[in-house]
Amino acid sequence: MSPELAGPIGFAIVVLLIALRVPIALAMALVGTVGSIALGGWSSATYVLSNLPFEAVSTDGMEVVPLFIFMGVFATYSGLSSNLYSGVQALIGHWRGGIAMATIGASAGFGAICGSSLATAATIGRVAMPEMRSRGYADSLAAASVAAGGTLGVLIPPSIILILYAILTGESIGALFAAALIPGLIGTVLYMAAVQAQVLRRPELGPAGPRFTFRQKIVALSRIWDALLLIVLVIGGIYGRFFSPTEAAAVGAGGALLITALRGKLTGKILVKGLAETASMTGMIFLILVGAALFNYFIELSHLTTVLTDAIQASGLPPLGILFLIIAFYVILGCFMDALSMVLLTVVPLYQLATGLGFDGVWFGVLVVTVAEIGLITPPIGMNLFVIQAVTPNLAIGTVIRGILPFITADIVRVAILVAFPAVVLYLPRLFGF
Amino acid sequence: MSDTAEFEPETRPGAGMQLAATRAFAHVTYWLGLAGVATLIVAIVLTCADILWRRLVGGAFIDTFDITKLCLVSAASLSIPYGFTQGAHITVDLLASRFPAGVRAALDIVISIVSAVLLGFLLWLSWKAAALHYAYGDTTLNLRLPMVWYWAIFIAGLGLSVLAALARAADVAFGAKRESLS
Repeated sequence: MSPELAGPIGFAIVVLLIALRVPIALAMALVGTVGSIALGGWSSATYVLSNLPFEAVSTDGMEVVPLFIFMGVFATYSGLSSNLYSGVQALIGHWRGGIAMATIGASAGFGAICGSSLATAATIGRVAMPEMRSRGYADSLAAASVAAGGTLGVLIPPSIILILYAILTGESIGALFAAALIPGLIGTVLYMAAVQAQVLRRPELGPAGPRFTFRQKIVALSRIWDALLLIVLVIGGIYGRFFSPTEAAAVGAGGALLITALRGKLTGKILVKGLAETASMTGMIFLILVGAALFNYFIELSHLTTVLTDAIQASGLPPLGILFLIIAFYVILGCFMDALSMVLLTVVPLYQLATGLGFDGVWFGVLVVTVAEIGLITPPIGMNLFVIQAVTPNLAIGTVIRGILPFITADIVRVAILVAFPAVVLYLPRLFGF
Repeated sequence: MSDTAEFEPETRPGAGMQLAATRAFAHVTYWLGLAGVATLIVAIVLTCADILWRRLVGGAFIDTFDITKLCLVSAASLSIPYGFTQGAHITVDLLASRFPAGVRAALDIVISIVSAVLLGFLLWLSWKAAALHYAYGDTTLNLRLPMVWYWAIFIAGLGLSVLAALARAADVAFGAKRESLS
């Protein structure tokens, strides 16, 4: 078989194996191993394959992944989420739809500590859903705002997917974190606008909550100082070049553990539970990294990127047309695959393709992660939809799906903004000198 | 739908494992997984101390790079088998959910055995690579730690992952997980 054919066939086999419920990491590893030996020959391929899995777990800079997972897990156990939620609710909860908007604001804030979409949706959902239900919010609006808000955790730094994108493509983690901030904030504002648009049309979906007194606002806001300090230390530390990403991750993880202890929540049981949860997520991510390393070696041997580039040149499509095809590809794939696996499976050839067409690698990374976020709230696989259903009693999945459309529209608007105005993404990295 | 460890994984040792032997093995992976990520606390403390030392005193407190990497390799390598025993590795149920329970169980056994064979192959290759590093006496650049330490932890993780995949196959084959599949 020619290498040119092997790439697309290998990719198709991975998708088929995944559909048959083979763990995504092992599907990539299996095709990567067999395909590499078939294309590269036994002695040459096995020599490379003998080092790749180890390199996948020991590459310089990879320390940030388990450390940020550690930070997110203990931030969740510390109870920071409920304080963040109360703080934002005190400011805007009295508006019509305000508690749903507070949910989105708190999700953005928690995303800046946690870095995981599902954990953000689950954590904020537990606090926000009972509150919105008690205030007479429609389940469709309440659940959809939690599910959509959770996706902000994927993009707002520190983002695990952006870190992995940086490691796989050689881009700077700091530059990607700087680049993702404004798109993350735009996403927050657009989601809030989506809530407003719904309650303007149908006010009964999100009745106005009680107005907080000035004193109550101050009290509520004073309780989020530790969360803000953690965000400023980690994100500000990277932006200001005070810390390397690894140092920032260590400071963040230590800070989250300290906050949990200072709040009196660091019992032996919580410590063990937090470590076990960190181990579970770390194992899951690193096995995917091993699989992706093997698969990407096979893709390299198959010259898939060259094949794609040649096909695109022959098609006569302009670079923007290619970009739209890439976006459409990710949106469709995102309906069936989780964001992390999708990015790791595809990003190396598509990054080479996009940068070869003249697109900025940092901008492309933020765009890819933004598009991958859409998959988290798109049926049938949108995982945040199922997370919010799982943490909320008596909530039908159909109800969540019914409310999600305005938020998907907001995401499409955001992607259009990023494509039309790349400066939105690239301004901060340039400002901070990355 | 898909499942993932990211959302509240079942962290109880032995969750998803029901045979006595596999339950005992799950306990082993659980404690090793905990030990692996607990090394991150060492990395956190050393890195924070290093930052403070550099700011307050100047110069490096200790060369943390090699130790941090050792912690990373421990956390990653020992977490992977724990992910297997927890069923935490991401799957997407697009076609398999439409099959009868018996077919799904058979598929699960085949997938687990193929996974064990693949991981066993990677283990063999890694063993050969580790043997080379050992033979050459390779060390890290800064603290001169033997590279074989890093490889040994990684190989232990791979070996446990092979056993974890086989344990899963045994659970399904002996019917322990069949109920959950139907």
